[in-house]
Amino acid sequence: MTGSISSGSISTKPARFSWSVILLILVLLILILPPTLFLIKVSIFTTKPDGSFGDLTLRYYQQLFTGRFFFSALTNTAIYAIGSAVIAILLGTIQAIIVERTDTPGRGWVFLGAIISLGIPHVLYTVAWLLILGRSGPLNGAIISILGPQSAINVYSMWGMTLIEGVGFVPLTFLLMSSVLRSTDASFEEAAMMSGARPVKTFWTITLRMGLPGIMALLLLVFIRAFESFEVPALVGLAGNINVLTTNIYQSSKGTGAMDYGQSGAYSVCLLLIVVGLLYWYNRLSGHAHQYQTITGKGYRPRVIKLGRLRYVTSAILVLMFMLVTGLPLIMLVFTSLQPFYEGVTPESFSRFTLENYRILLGPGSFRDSISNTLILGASTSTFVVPFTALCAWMAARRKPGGWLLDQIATAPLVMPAIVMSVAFLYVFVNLPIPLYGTLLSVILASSVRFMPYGMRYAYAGVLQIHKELEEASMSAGAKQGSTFLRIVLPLLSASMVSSWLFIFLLAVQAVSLPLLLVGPGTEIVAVTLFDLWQNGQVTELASMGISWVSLMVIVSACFHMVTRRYQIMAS
Amino acid sequence: MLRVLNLVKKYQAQVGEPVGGVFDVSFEVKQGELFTLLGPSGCGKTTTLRSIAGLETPDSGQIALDGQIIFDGATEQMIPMYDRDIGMVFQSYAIWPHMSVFENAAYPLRVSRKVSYSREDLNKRVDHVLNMVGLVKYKNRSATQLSGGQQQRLALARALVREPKLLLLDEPLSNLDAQLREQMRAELKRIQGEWGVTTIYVTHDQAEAMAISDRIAVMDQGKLVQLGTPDEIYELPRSEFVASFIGRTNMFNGTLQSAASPGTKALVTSNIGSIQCHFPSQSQAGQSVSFVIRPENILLQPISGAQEQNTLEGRVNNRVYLGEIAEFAIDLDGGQQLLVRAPPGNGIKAGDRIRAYLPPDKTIAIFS
Repeated sequence: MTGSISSGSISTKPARFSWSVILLILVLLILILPPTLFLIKVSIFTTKPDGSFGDLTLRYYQQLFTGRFFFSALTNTAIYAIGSAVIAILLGTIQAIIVERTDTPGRGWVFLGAIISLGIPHVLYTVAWLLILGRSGPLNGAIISILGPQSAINVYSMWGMTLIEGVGFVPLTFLLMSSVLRSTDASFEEAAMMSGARPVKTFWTITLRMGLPGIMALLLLVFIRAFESFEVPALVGLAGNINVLTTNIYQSSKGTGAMDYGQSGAYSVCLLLIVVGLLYWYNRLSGHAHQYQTITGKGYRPRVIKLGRLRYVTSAILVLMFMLVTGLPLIMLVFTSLQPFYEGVTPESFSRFTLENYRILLGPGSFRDSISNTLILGASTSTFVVPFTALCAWMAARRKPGGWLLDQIATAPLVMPAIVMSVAFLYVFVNLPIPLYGTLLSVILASSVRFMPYGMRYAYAGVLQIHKELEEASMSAGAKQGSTFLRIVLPLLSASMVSSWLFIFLLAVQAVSLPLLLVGPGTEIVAVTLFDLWQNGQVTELASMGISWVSLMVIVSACFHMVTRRYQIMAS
Repeated sequence: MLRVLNLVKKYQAQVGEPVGGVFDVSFEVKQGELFTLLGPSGCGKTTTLRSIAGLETPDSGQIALDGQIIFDGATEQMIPMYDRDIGMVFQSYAIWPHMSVFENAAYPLRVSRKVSYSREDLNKRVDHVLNMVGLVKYKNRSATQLSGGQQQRLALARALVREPKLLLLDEPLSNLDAQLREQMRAELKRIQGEWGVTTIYVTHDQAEAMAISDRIAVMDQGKLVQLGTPDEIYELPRSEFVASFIGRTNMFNGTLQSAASPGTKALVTSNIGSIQCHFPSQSQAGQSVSFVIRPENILLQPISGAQEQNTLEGRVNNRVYLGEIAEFAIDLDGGQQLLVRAPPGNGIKAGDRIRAYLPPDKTIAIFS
């Protein structure tokens, strides 16, 4: 009897870490500590030509703060992030309100749009918009033919960046806002109506005002995401000479000449600290927002406003938004992918449709390799992260000794913007005695660390849904911790693990900034290839590859959506 | 004051049979009355209430408030909820967390389109109503700082501030703990009496309904099964459901021997013998009936002399002492069970043989 108690985790003696917790912590530390330490180290030590460290110095930080570039980049980043957050929230909220709170016909289809856009890599999305708004794009074509060439718009500008980034975030803000609108107790609004307030008045004084903390938190979240975003600044901003922090890091890490370790390190540490501060603020804000969310068990659907004739107007708004967010970019890509060469949308271009680009894609060569590399990358990352975080989250949620530490360490990578992590892992891999640099394995390792926090969130929410007594029953039936985890916890977690797997897969295969500095010849992956094709001006190949990839990913994202719906998985 | 006529509201499951709702419910509520809709969960009481409020659109029927038709299924006429002049207290209270106590209570006046209240008038009205529920000293607090009981009072104040024609209360006490519930029950009754507002009260708690109501409508599976004062409902249940849902009861089945007219007594042959029962309505000979008797109406006597009409003999199987009363579980000689509540000082113990008398005017016949 005593033996079974001491081998269990609930002990009255000072907590003893079990070997499994120690092992998990070790794995996490090996993954996370070296890049972080290297990052800090390169920013405060001089680097000798052979890669070894020299003297301690604050020179790099000094250069950063005395030069003009840092502060102009910081200002640019702030303007860009605020602008795109406002656009994303505004459009996403309007969409969510129409879908969740009105009887607009066809509102259910908006979710389909959100699913499709979840499968579009951000880099492809950016490219699609550049094709539409670019110099030879259809919009400028129309403007020039009506108003003359002097009125042509230049998308490679601050407004271009802000618009593309903002519109790109609309599916996310729509999904989050609609879940906020859905989860608020309908009786708050019913109480207002019973007080004599009309629907519109109720919406302004109750629904919107109560949702405000949630909206503010979401605004900050999008702001942070835009702050650390890379694709749009790299594709739009660099071409228009608008520097932000992430592109500065990229340029100092992958310049034409020798790489400036110190400067990119200092930049990275600064960006990291800013994001830490923002995330801290976000956590406080969203914690406050949760106080307002009183979800009661009564299953009354929130009140739907009957719009009458007006509902055709809102229907049209939804169609317009779908076109703006998903439809137009995809149409533009399909169109481009069918052209032998890209010249913009001209009357002649409609007479030379060809499937040549898709034929190249099917043939042997780097396209096929990069698709299989990417699938391997996504699947390996998910397959490692999901069970690993399930174990960590279980230890943490059940308050095993040392569990909180697992939670903290596994969530920590969240503060590292992708480009910073890329730089940090780059240092690690080039300094490693084993030749990992440039291999697919190195990208998988970095991705696993990067998406660990997401897996953790999913698994934690999943574990909390499992009643503790189910496990205690297993323990009292004589099963030890390990077999309890395998036979009881894992099967019960399977639904949320499947959805977590698909979600991380989707994120991992789309990432550009993380693998950008790590991949080498022979390990091309789709998102980076798309990025390179754009830089090389191979627009039609890019489009055909992008469209094929999106069709593949939409299937994955539809599976994700179905699993989440079916099992009502909630992860914040 | 309020007239509900042939109200129908069906809820359709995604496939198959309708689940829940109300089927052909009619009743009238008088001016100033506290009228309770009582029934188990899923009986349709909340649907009825929400239809009156205008939060649900019934399938058919008619609802009239103060002579004005507010819903008519035949003409599809429906006055929207915000124009109905009805105050409502929600089960979750629905106190808006982003407003102060004062602002919560003032909201109905602020959004009023019929009358524009001057600042002093508004302050006076809100203070008056907050004073009545005992919250006037908290008026500047944030609504989130209120306890459950205080939120309940505030919800009531908000519902009453514009002096509505009708007050609806949807299980208002179900979120409070037992002690507070009793206190608030008395408070509600007092405020309702002082204010004189016609009130419809929804609850599944029969003791609460008994204590507070002028009249009760008992609902079961979407139908109104009995309507009457608390005394009538308790003393003269008209169906097995009402008899078993309201309080505890003993029930037996049998056959009526000769025709009975309303208010008379007649003999029913049953598996516990021939019992004389009270018949509240007309019935034919040979009809199969049930009869019920409340445990506290049965008299226990020691066995002596010849057995009289309406007495049964048996052995006390168990005695449960409850303080002011004791409960006796009796195994009748025929094998049936009988539950009796009697003063604990009667000296009867478990194991005693006993005779139980069922007074005919308390033994109520029911048609199954």
